[in-house]
Amino acid sequence: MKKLFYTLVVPVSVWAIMELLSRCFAGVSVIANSADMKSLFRTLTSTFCFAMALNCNVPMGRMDLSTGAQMYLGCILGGNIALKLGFGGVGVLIGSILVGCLAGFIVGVVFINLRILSMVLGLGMTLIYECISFASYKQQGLMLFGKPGVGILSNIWFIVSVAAMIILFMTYMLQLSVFGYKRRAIRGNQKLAVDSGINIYINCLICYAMAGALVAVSGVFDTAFKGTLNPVLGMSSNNNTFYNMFPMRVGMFLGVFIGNPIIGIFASSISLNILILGMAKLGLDQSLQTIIIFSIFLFFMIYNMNQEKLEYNKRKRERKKIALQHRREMKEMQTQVNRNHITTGS
Amino acid sequence: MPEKTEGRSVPALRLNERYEIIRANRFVNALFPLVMFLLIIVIFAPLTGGQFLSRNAIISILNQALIVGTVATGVAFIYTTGNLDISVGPIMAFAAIIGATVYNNTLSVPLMVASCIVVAVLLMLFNCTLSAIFNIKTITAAIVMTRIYGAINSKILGASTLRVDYTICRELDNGGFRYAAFFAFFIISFLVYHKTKIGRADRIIGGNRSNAVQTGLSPNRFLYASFLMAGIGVGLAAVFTITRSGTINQDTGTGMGTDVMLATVLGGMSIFGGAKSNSYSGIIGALTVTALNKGLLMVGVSTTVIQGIRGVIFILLVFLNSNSGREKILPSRQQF
Amino acid sequence: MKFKKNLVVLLACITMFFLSACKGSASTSTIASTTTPESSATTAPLATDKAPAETPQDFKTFKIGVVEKQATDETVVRREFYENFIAPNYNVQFIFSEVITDVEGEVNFIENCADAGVDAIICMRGGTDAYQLSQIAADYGMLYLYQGRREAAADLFVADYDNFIGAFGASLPLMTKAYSDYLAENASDDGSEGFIILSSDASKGNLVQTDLTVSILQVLQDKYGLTYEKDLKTLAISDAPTIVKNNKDIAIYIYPGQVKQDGWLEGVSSALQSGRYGYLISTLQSYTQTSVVVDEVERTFDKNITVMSMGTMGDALTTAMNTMDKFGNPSVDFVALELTSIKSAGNFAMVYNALTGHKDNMRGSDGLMSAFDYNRIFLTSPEQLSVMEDWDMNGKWAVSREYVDGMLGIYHSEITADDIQEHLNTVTSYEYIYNYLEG
Repeated sequence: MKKLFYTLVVPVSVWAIMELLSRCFAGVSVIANSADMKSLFRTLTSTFCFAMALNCNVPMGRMDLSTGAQMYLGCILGGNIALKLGFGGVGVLIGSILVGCLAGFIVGVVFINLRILSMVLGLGMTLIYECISFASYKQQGLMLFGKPGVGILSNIWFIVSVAAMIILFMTYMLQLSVFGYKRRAIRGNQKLAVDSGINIYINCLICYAMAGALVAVSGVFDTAFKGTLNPVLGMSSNNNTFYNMFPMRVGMFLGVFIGNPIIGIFASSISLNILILGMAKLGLDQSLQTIIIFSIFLFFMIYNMNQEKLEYNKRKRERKKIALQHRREMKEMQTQVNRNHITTGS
Repeated sequence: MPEKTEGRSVPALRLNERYEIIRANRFVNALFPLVMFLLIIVIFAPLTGGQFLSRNAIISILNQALIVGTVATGVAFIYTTGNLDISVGPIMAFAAIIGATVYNNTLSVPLMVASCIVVAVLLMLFNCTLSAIFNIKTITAAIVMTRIYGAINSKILGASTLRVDYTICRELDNGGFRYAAFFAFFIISFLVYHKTKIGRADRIIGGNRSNAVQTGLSPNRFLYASFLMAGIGVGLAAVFTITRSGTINQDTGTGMGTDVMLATVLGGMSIFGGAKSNSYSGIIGALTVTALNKGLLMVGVSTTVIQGIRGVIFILLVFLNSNSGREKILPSRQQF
Repeated sequence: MKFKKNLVVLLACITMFFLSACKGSASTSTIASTTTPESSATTAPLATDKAPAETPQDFKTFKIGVVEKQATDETVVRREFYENFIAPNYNVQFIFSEVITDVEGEVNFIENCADAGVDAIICMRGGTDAYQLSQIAADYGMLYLYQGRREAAADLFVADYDNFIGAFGASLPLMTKAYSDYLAENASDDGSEGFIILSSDASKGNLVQTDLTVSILQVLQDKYGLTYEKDLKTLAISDAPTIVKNNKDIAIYIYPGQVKQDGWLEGVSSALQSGRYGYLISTLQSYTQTSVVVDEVERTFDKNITVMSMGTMGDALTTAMNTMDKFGNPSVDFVALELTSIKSAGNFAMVYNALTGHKDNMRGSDGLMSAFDYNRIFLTSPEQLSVMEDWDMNGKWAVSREYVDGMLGIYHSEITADDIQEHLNTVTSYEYIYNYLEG
C-alpha cells in the first residue's frame, strides 16, 4: 500500500496542480479527451524508454553520450529496412530494436576493448553514428507518415502493451534476475565484483545492448507521433540524452521509496509529460516551458543532494527541542524542590 | 636471448613492453598531441597541392580554432579538478548579447570587453555555487543551466538578430586584437596553472579529492578560482564571437560545450583531470580539429562523411594517448 | 592486447576507406588539382576586362560555394540539379557546406571556400545576417548572393557593394493572392471554423515567415472585415502562442516555434483538440509532422480540418497528398510549392552573370543591385500532383536551358533587370512548366 502511494503521489500531485491551473487560466482540462490521452501515452512511452536506457549505464558510472545517436541509427536503418521489406509498424519496431541493440553492443565492445572513459567514447561514437544516419537513405531519415501498416504504432492499446512489456522485462532483468544481481554488485564495487568472480565485461555489454534497444523503441514511438525522424549532425543528438536525464534522475529517487527504480522512472516520466501537456494547454511559449522544467529539476537536485544535511538539521532541531524541554522540566522540578524546602524549613 | 648482468640473466623486453614504456613516458605524452597536429598538416599539404600551407589557410585555421581554444584554455582549470561544465556555450552567447548591447549603447570597446568578461564570470561562479554550496555535481548543474541559459537567450533575442557595426569588428580583427588578447590570456593561464598554487591545488584535487582535503586544501576555494579563470576565458571568447562576424543570434554558442570537450581530449588531456593535466591541451586540440576539418574539405571529402572521419580519428587518438593499461576493471565515473 | 591492436588497425583502415571512397566527383568539390591565386585582395575576380565570351567554355571553371541550412528533400534535389545539370552545361564546380545553422559556421565555410579558390557564395540561410557575411566574403574576394527577400538585408540594397550580387526569393504578392483565393473559395462566410496559423520562426526574425503570417492575417482581415486589437507585425512576431482578439470573435490562434523543438507538436495538438479550429495554416513545411495529430482530432471531433502549408517536391509531399483522411480529403489540402530547380537555377544565373562580367545587367533603375522574385506553384489536389509527381526528380528538371540562358548576359548582352524579372514571371508559372515538361 505504501509502495502504491509512493508510486502515485508525484504523478497525481502534478496532475492535480496542472488541472487546477489549466482550468483556471485556460478553461480546459489537462486530459480533455481520448486524443489527449493518446498523445500523453505516446510521449510518456518515448520518455520512459529513453530514461530507462540511460538508467542502464549512468548509475554504473558510464555516462554514455552516444545514446541519442544510437536512437537515430536504430530507427533510421532498422525502420527503413523493415519498411522496404514490407513489414508494418511492428516490423519497424522490431527492426529498430535490433539495429539499436547492435549499435549499443558495438559501443560496448569498443568500450571494453579500448578502455576509454564512457563519456569520451560517447562523443566519438556520436560523431560516427550521426554521420552514418545522415548519409543513409539520402539524408531523408525515417518517414512513417502515410506508410502502410504503421497505424498500429499510434494505437493506444499497443502503446500501453509495449510499455507494460518493457516494465515487466526490465523489472525482471534489473531486479529479479542474476544479471541484475550481478549488476548491483558491480555498481557497489567493481573490484570486489571482479574478485568474487563476476564477469563485468558481459554485464557491461548487455547493459549497452539493452540501452540501444530501449532508445530505438523511444525513437519509433516519437517518430510515429511526429511523422518523420530527420537525421542530425554536430552532436545535436546529445540534446535528447541531456533532456531525459531529468526523468531518469527523479525516477531513481522515487525508486528508492517504491522499491523498484523502473516503476520510479515510469512515475517520473508520467509526471514530466503531464507537466508538459499542462503547460501546452496553458499556451506557454517554448522558452518559458524549458525554464520551468529545468528549474524544477534544479530545485529537485538541490533538495536531493542536500537531503542528508536537511535531515541532520531536522534531527538537530528536534534534539535541541528535547533538550530545552528537559531543561524546563528540570528547572520546574528544582523550583518545586526549593519551594518544598522553604515550606518544610519554616 | 636473456642478457647477462653480473651473473644473473635479465629477460629482454618484448615489443609491447617497449611500446608501453614509451607510451608512459611523460615527454611522449606531452608531445604526442602536438606531433599529431603537425602530422595532419604534413599529410594534407601534398594532398591539397600545397594550398594547405598557404598563408590564408594557416590564418583561417587559427581564426576558426581561436574561440574554442580560448574557452578550452579557461575550462581546463575546471576539468583539472575532476569536474565538467558544458554550459559554456549559452553562457558565452549571453555574455556576447550583453557585450553587443553595451557596445551599441556606448560605442566603447573596452566597456564591451569588460561587460562580456564580467557577465561570463558571474554566470560561471553561479554554476560553481550550485556545486560548491549545494553539492550538485557540476555536470548535472551544467546540463540544467545549459537549457535554462539557452531559453533565456531565446527570450532576450526574440525576433531580432543583434548586430555590431562590422567596420569596428574588422578594425579589431585587422589590428590583431584577437590574437593579442588570446596570447595574453594564454600566458596568464599557463603561469597560473603551472607556476602557482592554484594550478597545483587543482591537480591534487582532481587526482584525489579526499587526499587534497586531508592535506589542508579547501577544494571549494580552488573550485571557485577555476571557475573564475574559465569565466574569463568564456568572456573573451564572447568578445571574439562578436568581432568575428558582428552578429549574435539564437544559434550562437550552440554545441560549444561538447566542442570544447572534444578539443580538450584531442589535445591529450583527460576531461576528468588529475596530475597529468595541463593548460595547453585545449588550444592544441582546437587547432587539430580545425586543421582536420579544413584538410578534409580541401581534399574534396564529402561534407556528409567529414564528421564520421572526425569521430574515427578522435577515438584513435584518444586511445593512443590513453594510459589505461590492462586493468581488471572498466573505467567508470559517477556523475549523478 | 592483440585484439586492441587489431581494433586500432581496423579503425585506421576505416578512416582510409572513408578518405578514398568518399572523395567528391570532379564536378563538385574536388579542388586538389586546381591552383588558384591567393584571394587576399578585396576586389572580386570578375572577368570585367574581357570581351563577352560566347559560351561557358570560354571562361575558366568557376567555383561556387553553397551554404545549406538544413538537410531536407530540397537540399538533396538542389545538389543533384547543380551537379548533374548546371555544372556540366556551364563549366562550373560546386562546393556544398554541411548543415549550417549559425553565423560562425557560415564564416568558417566562407574561409574554407576562400582557401579552396571559390569565386562566389550562394547562401540558402536567408538574408538575416547577409550584411555582415557579404562583407566577410568581400574581404576574401568572393561574390555573395543570398536566397531570401530584399527586406532581410535591406542595408545591402541602399549602397553599391562590389561583391554583392543581390537576392532571390519567392514572390510574396503572388503567395498572398493564392492564399486569399483559396480561403475565399473554401472558408465559410462567417469564419466560424476558426484558424490556427503556425508562424514558425517569425518570432526569431525569419522575414519570409513573418511576412507570410502578416499576409494571412491580412487576408482574414479583408475577408471578414476584422479589426485586430494589436497591429499585424506585433501579432506575427509573437514568441508565445497568441489568441488574436478581433471585433467579430473569430477564433484565430498564432502558434510560433519550430517543428523540432520539444513540446511544439504537443502544443499544436492541444490547440487542435480544443475543437475551435478548422483551418491549420502553416508558414513552413509541416504537413508530415502535423498529419497524425490532425487525423486524430478529425476522428475525435468528427470534423474536417483543412491544412494549408508550404512544401517542396519529394516523397513527403507525394505521401501527404495521397493519404486520405476519414472525410476522403488528402492530408494536406493546399500547398505553396517551391520547385527546387527553379530556385536554384535563378540563384545560379545571378551569380554567373556577376562572374562573367554582366553584373551591371542586373542593376535596377536606381543603379543598385536587385532582388528578384520567382513564383511558387499552388497545389490543391492529388490529381494535380499526379501530373507533377516526377517534376524535379530523376533528371526531369522543371527548368530548361532556355530558362537559364534567358537570364544570362553572355547570351543577351543587353538584358536588363526588368527583362530578367519578366522572364522569371513567365518561366516560373505552372502553365509554362507544364507545357515544357508535359506538352
